[in-house]
Amino acid sequence: MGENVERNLRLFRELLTCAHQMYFWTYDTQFSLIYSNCPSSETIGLLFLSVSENLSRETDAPILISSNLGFTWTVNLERDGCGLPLYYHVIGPTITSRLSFPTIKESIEKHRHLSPPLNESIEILLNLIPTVPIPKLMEYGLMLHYCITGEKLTISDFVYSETVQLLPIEENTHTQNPHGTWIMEQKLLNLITEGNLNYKQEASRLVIGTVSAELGNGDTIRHYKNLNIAFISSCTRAAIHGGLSPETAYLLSDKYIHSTEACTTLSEIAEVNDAMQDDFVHRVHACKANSLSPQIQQCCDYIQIHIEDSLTLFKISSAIGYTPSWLSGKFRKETGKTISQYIAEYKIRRAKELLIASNTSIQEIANQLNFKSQSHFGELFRRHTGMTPGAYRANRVEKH
Amino acid sequence: MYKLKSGVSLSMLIKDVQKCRSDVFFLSDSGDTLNLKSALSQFIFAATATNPELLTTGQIVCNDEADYNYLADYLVKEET
Repeated sequence: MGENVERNLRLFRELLTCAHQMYFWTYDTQFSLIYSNCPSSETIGLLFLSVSENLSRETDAPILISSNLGFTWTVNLERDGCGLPLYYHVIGPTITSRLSFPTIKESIEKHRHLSPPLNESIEILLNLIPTVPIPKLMEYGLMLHYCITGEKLTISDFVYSETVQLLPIEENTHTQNPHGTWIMEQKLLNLITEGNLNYKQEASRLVIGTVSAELGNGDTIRHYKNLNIAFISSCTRAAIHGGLSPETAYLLSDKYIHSTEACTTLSEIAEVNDAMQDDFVHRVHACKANSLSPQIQQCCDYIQIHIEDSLTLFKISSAIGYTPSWLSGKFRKETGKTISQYIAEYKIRRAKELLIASNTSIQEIANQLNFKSQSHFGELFRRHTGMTPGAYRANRVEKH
Repeated sequence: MYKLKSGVSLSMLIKDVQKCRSDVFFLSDSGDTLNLKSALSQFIFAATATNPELLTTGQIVCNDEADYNYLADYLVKEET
């Protein structure tokens, strides 16, 4: 291994383990293990052995290889100065969303009646394997490739090795019970319906986002966009079941579907997915926690979603289907403030976020939030916070 | 009766099992039978490694007597 490659890989491995408990392996061309950071390398290493014969020696591109039990690895070949294969650098195995832990166990049990001690051992083994979404694993594969070759590739350069059939195909494709993804999806959707703010922790072992069907006509980004859009639709309905008004839920759905369509990378899609889940869970939680009537909650939701638009009482009341006078009276009665005051407060709240979390200029923030002018924005901001936007930003930057 | 030596490399064992002429089985003390040439069984065999007792109390059975020679480095013969 070249000195630079070794140095790069050492740093990369360290970085990788900051994010996930990922296993990294280096094999020679005969698949004898040279290096592993896996504490159970002897055990986990056996899983790769069963798929390694399917690896291509021809390609220099990162390879994604998986078995139909749901384990996936990314593999990069390192060549010597003469172009001959030298080492295979491997990240994995990971469990993606295809099959959940219970489904893997269930699949095995269909073929083998195993004794309780062996079943227990399988559970221990499965718990040693991290759950990582395929897009994330592929990104790590690209980084690994860069460490080895210095070449920057994209997801579309990946080579997909044929799925290794650890289970007979017919058994894998015609399960009697619901698909593991469906079960996991229901669990995650329930967390949204409950408005469970601990959903991230609860869902840490549930990864939704891929199914076995190819949905992108060969285009990976399209495939994941389609999956995300389908998932947004499911989350929308889960949020409605949780108490969010259908109007608000569908507005959010449209917003996140548009954001998904605008994505150009898998990371961006993942970010939209995270933001969407977070938004739905928090809104459902707020619905359950506060004492606002559904009509006024819907009004607040509409304002929050459209805070960057030009908002008028007429526009808001038309959108949610009440007369302006009835809505403004009820809003004031329930919240103790006028709709205009609420809009102003929410704009200032949004402006604070933009001032702290972005480099957007004050003029641009004023434009974005639909203020008549920068001075109008400044005046309103000062009235609410006691300082100018510039001073607020400087003050917060200094503190951090 | 052949048992596995303690501390043997399971990956090397599986590689050498592939060189055997006939099927090689791991029989656990609890009654499980794993054909070590099958990919699914290899996965289950990997699981046994999380429980050293399960591994060392199990037997290795070769369909072809000559295959014991291929695996001699990994096995210890015990009188029944």
